[in-house]
Amino acid sequence: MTAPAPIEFSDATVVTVSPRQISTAMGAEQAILQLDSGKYFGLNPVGARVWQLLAQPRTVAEVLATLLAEYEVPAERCRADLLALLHKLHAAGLLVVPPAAAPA
Amino acid sequence: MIPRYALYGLCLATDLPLKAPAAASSAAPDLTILRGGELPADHPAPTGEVWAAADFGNGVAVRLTKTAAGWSLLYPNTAEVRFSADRAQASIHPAPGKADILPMLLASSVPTWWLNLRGDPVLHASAVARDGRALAFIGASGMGKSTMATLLCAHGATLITDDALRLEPSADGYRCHFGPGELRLRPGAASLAGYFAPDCANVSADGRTTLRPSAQAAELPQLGALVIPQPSREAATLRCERQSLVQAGFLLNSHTRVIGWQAEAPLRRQFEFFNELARRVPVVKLTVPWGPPFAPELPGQVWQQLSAEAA
Repeated sequence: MTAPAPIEFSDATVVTVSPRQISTAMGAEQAILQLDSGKYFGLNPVGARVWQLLAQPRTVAEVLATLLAEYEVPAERCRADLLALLHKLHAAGLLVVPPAAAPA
Repeated sequence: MIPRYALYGLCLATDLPLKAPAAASSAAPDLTILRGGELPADHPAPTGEVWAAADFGNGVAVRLTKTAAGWSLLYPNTAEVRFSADRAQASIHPAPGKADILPMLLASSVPTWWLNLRGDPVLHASAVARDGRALAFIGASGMGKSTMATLLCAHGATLITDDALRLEPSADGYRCHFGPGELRLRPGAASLAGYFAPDCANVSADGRTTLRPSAQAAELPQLGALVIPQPSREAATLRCERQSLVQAGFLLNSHTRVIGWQAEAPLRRQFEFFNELARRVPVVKLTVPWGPPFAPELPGQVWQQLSAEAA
């Protein structure tokens, strides 16, 4: 599998899980298999919650707001951890940025 | 009639002599494999869709291809197995000078590929049983699977399998299918053969010491725990570390007997099967004070600690 080109995430970036993976909940954690590389990934409970949120397309700001509402964590640290996770998931071929919706 | 063998829960009929238990005379073969002609020295890889390819280094590789006639399982410079499209029939063809390897391939590697094609993933594991409960030791080659199985068999356990473990889900967990009934020891562990009667030991086609420790039980043992041995020359005592569910799933998916899948269906099947296994059976890392020599009380301690995990 060719690594996807890196992207810069902004609050407005819409992201969702890639169709080229399968995943399953393992208790509070999440196991994921990337189907092109055959690599297995595990997410801790907070990562699993992010994964659950990204099952449908959402902006980075929406995900961040949900996490801040659910966990007691400083906003800047939450943002930094979320962006680091999104970069890792994207580099592993587990996230996609859907094409922008066509204007009406 | 072509001789029939019981291997990994299959009835395998073949005209090659296998060191494996005979199947019940009434059993219908799941797979019939007959000896085919020798491959030419410059035998090309078959054309078709490559479903799996793995290179283990040291000249050992394998490649599964979906061909127009069925399936080809190619061990480059060693042998090729050609399965019919319905996978019920096959022929096995040796490369020049490799005919003596064929029984070894048929007793382990070939059935595990066949099982995966049918949708039954197989673990890279050795397993033993006592009182109907089984322990499976999983890990890469050389990480102590066979040594642990040998130690426990030397102290009263029954051998289920060495190297490849087929598990079948049941109402109360998973049942373990028996393999060929033979342990294959690396040179460093060959001294363990001293625990067994001399008529149990032999030498395999690839030069390893082999042991055939005891007759198999009639019932399929229930799997109690999956164990990743961590051999240690420094550790003085056993240490057992239960793995989280997601880590357990990762470890099981990393220790499949068949690797190198490029086709999606078997990858999906493995992922589903082994994650469900991780949910239902404890997976532990076991640090083991390593030998030889091994402490005489070690096998008893292994059963005690792992039985507690499995309870």
